[in-house]
Amino acid sequence: MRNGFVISFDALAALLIFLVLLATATAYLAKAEFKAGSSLSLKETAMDCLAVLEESGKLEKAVSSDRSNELRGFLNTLPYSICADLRVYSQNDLNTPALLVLRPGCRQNFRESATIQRSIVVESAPNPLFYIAELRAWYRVAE
Amino acid sequence: MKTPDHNASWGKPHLPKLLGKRGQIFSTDLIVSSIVFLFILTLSLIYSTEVSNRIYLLEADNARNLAAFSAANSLLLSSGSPANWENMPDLNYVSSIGLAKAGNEIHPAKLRKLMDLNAGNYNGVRELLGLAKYNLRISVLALQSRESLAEFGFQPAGGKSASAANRIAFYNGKEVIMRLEVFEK
Repeated sequence: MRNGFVISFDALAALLIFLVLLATATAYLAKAEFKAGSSLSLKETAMDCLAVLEESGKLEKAVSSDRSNELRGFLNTLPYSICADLRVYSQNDLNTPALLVLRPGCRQNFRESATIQRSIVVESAPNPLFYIAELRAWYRVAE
Repeated sequence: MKTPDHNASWGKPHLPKLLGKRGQIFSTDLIVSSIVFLFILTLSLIYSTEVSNRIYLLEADNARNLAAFSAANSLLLSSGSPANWENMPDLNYVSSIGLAKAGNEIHPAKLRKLMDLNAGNYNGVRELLGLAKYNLRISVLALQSRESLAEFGFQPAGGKSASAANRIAFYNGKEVIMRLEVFEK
């Protein structure tokens, strides 16, 4: 007896289509996450670093002495998961950094980063000099 | 020679035969289709419940993270309202709490006052920081050694969902991390 075959086939086809839709929806749903949080956190870290470096006088000291040891030391104390590089540009040359410090052990292999710039004034005779400090932060990528 | 059946009418050639067959509606095919339909319906219900739970958790995470970020911002970047809130006799005179002396610099007296409030005014501080729905812990750690310099609040027992905002600041001539952890109640 073979009657009703078409109805059964329809039901199975419907089931198949339903399962495909379900799998697709699950795959898309699995991708949903709070991405804004990590970029916001990176941006705030970069802002904080520059503010603290300026507040502590390390930035000004590094620029006037042309030595980046203290800046490197500061970047090294950041939480392990954070990588950063700091460039300081003089007002006379905004293409070539006067100082360039990359956190030791970090590679620039990021997909997402936050860059913050801050202008600083360094006392100098006869006129003060203007510099732009640029800090880029990203999460360390496991090798 | 066969004589025509004059009793048979147009459109009902086999009526007597069909009348003998009952129960077509309960055929195997209908049963199979019903089972498949019920399976799909059950799966849809389970899945939609699962999706709504997942969205609820994501939204809760999202709200907690944003609450932690904004509370950390107001602590580190504002001096509170009134600006000398640390000298007020109690929290009824305070409309917001901030620890900043200048941007990213923590005022030692304000931090000390916040720690003093831990014993009797933990709930009041949570409300002023917009974290009434959560538990919180604020710690100030030396950036170099990670030694704890100050602490407010507590970490609840059990594996509660948490969000943390880590901010780098300047306190008493030292570079520090101000960590604000927000826990689900």
